[in-house]
Amino acid sequence: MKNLALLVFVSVIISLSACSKETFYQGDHFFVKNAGAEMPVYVKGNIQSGIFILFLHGGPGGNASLPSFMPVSKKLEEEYAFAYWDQRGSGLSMGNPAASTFTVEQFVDDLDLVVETIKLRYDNPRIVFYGISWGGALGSAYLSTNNYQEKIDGFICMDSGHNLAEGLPRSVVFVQEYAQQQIDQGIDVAYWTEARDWCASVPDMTNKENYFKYDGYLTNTNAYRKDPKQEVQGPEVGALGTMNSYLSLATFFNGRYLVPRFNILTLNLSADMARIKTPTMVIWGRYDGVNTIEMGYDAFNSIGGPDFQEKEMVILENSAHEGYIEEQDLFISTFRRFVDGL
Amino acid sequence: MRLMPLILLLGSLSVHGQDFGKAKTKVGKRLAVKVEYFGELVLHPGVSVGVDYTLATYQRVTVHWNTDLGGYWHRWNNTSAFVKTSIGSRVAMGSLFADLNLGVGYMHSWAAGVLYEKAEGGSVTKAANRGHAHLMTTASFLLGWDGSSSNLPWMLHIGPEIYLQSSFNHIFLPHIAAKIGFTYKLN
Repeated sequence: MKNLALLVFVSVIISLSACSKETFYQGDHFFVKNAGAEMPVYVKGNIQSGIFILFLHGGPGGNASLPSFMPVSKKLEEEYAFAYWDQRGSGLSMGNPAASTFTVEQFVDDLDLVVETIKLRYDNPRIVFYGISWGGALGSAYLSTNNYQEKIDGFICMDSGHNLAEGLPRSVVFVQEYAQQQIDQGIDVAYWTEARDWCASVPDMTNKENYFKYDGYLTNTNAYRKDPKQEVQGPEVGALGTMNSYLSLATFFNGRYLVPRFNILTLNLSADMARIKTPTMVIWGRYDGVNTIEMGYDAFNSIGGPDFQEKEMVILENSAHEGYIEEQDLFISTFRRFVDGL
Repeated sequence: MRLMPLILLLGSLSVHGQDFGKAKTKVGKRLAVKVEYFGELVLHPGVSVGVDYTLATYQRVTVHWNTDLGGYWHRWNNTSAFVKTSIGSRVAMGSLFADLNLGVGYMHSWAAGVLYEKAEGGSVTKAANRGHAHLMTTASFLLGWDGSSSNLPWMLHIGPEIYLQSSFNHIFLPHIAAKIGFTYKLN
């Protein structure tokens, strides 16, 4: 009887691992190897379209592998191929890259390898960057470097951190104002008083310790989502999916070495972005507290300079930093309109 | 004089060892071979084979030394092979037992897919997939059934193994695996 129970259990395990995996493994994948890192790229969706959306994840230290299970992506994958690249030291990427490789220049070089590999592997498709937050900054850095922009057909720059030197102090003001609102409403007064007073001291945001302190306050505001209670469609991969897909615990633990060692607090790409002549859509949440709307205008004004016409600015009026899920339908239709118009 | 504490410690271990070693048996009787399903994150399939050597027994407790060779395949992520050794303490409760093991090993991981890199001149080419060497530290807690009471020379076990992979992006990356195994005692 015990043997029978064991046999049944083993059969169930094997069946689960053999059958249900297929839903998590639709598409293609490859790795790129550069300067000590081996980074996965997962390609999903309509590869035959000949249009590749190269997703540039945020952080630094975030990941693209988990967003590859987002419903918003799945809907867009009906029309386009999506390439989800986990950057060095992040997500599911492997190796032991040295801290000295945690530079914007190295990330740009990695990105160029991803671009070239997609062109080689998929017969030179059109490539559109879709970068969020740090990903928007990385896309901007890439398109401003050498003649790389000739390889890219379009750029969706969302809530980007392209100019933290000016952007972070604005975000500190956001935290300060949020703290005052909480105090006025009698919510956790001691905590928010401490936050408000700390922000009012105009801390030096090029100092990492100050940054992490500010980040601690920021995550308790509505900087990321205008209404934190809003029901949104997150990644469709639960515990079983995590056990049954290409995800691993690295998705959640990676980045711990990178984050404190990759200093982008003084990053300011605004002047360089005048070189970008790639058709661009700057898309921003009106209530973004991470990279505030002023930085959205800065991105829009900087890209291609004042005379450049192939750019547009879209403001998601009911969103903060996660407009792709806060106003998902509007985001999808805007995304399609831009890409189809290229 | 400095060595005195060490000598006393070794002496006490020797006395302890005699106590444990009451049931002296031939090497063959202490030795067992085992095969396991090793599922990384439960469902990524792998297999492990090994030997289990009984170091000592005392009443319901068996101290055993395991050496295992195995690997698993995490599709689109990595393929890994390992050799590891551990010391375990198995406590019997009738024909059932609980087994706690701590160990260390060597693990080699390869990216589970084609690798590309930049060649000289800037073009892209396929890269050799040599993988990465890692230290592996393990802890497992197994529950099982021992056939000895029914004069059967085998045991079954099931349980989780937690292991850390180092260095992975300079961190100890935690993993969890499900183990389902069969152990055959040699006579």
